[in-house]
Amino acid sequence: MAKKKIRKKGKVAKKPGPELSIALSKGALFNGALALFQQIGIRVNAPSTEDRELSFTDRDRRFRFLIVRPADVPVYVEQGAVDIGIAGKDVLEEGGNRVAEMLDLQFGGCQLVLAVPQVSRISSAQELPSGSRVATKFTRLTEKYFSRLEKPVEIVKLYGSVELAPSTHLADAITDLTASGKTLRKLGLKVVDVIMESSARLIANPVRLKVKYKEIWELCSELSAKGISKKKFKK
Amino acid sequence: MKKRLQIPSGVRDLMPDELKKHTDLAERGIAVFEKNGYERVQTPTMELYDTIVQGMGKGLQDSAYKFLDGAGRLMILRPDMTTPIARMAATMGSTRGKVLKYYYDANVFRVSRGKTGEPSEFRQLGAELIGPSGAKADEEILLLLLEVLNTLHLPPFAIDMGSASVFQSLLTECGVDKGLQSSMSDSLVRLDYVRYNTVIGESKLSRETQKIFMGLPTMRGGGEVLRVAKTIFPRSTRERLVELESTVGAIRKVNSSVAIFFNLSLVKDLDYYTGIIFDVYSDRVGSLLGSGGRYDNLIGRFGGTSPATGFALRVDRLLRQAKRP
Repeated sequence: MAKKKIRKKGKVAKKPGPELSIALSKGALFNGALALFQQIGIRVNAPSTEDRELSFTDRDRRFRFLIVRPADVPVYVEQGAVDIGIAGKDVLEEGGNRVAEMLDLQFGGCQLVLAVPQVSRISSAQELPSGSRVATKFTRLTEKYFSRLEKPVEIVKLYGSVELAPSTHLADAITDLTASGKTLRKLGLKVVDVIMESSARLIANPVRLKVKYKEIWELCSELSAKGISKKKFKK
Repeated sequence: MKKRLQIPSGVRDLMPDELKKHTDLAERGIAVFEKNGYERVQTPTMELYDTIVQGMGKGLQDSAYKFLDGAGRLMILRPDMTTPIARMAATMGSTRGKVLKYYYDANVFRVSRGKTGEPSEFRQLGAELIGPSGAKADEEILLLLLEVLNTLHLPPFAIDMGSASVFQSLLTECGVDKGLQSSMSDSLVRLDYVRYNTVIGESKLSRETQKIFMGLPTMRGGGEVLRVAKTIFPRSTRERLVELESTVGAIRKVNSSVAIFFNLSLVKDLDYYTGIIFDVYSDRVGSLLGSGGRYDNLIGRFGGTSPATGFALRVDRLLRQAKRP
């Protein structure tokens, strides 16, 4: 009983913090996410890289932003360490975390593709011999893709520079993200199939979506009214 | 040679101090169940896979541990208590006209997906009211839930309340075909509002109908939500809304301070739930403290016939909720 009282007191003394905490992906989606918030009038400046600041607020202290690795965004959100986050659809599908997917933010568009060396005669996934080695960062999505095709392959998990795998004979094919396919071509690879289309998504913790219901849906409607470009995103 | 002393990931030892906290919490809940005339039941920790899956949704099936017994039969470690209790109720023969009031305090087992920090064995405290259908039984189970939560002296919690019959009626009355119904409800179950809006937008439903469905996710809150819903929903669905409203009204009459919200996009497995659906949560824990609802068809899948309603609470999360500053 006594304990409970102390807890209550602590709550009263607490300063009103930012209304929402948001996990942002380091890397490709970071600037796009910031631009989105600036577009709806949030006065926010990214901390300079020298600061190595991992969290910051906007000038009106409406939001607290956390900068985390892309694959960690859905983890922070699922666990309720933050209320909401911005992550690529590819990362969400790969992670399979239980989060609410609120909005397609329609930036950071890219594709997860299957690519093989340009010199190869293979022109579709079906032509890939059974037992081929496929290098990827996206093991879950790649496994799903090949099991849908009923094509048994060996998946090799890599953490980066996946494009090097075929030329070094580490793998026969790769699956990787690409925006235009240019880099892949430069590295002597060709795209033989598109596994999925991805873009940035606004995600929310399922319980916070109830507790901070108004704040989260209000942000969603602000973003869809002003933030997200009106051009229809092709599926 | 030194032996390794490992245990599987996702399970844990509870030393006396900690176990006491779990047990104290469970016992406070149990006292409430007993006081209200509920009787404790126990079902086997393992069941025959072929039997139990007749009444188990795909999600639960996938998350269950399966293994072979000595005779090579596929077994399942129970991932929940409601399904085995429904199986038990069905094996008891005719439950027609009978009222069964059961409660349980038991561990259930689910394969946790990757390294998520989620336990693969956890304790559930719950009750099932088998036999009566209708609002009175729903009210009884909700009041029982509130009484349990109140005895636990927890920091503030809240309840979101939806209705499978409201949603189902809306789908039927608006002429949504089966295929679209399942992709819409599946999207809401998974909280994928992007896909939900996409499948509606690409459907042949009229503009007006699309607008109604796309508005569902934001229809959450107090009485104003139902007032709005009543002006835009078709007729039969409005009647279902009145049922939901009167259930919540009856709860508020007994317990006026409870934080209970209407949530018209709260949808769970529609094969399973047939009436009210609810979630218990607090702002301190990022996952649900418990949930429940009416599931009139479950016992039928095991060959019995009996409406039923119930709830389950997660002991581990209730404790986490109590502990956090």
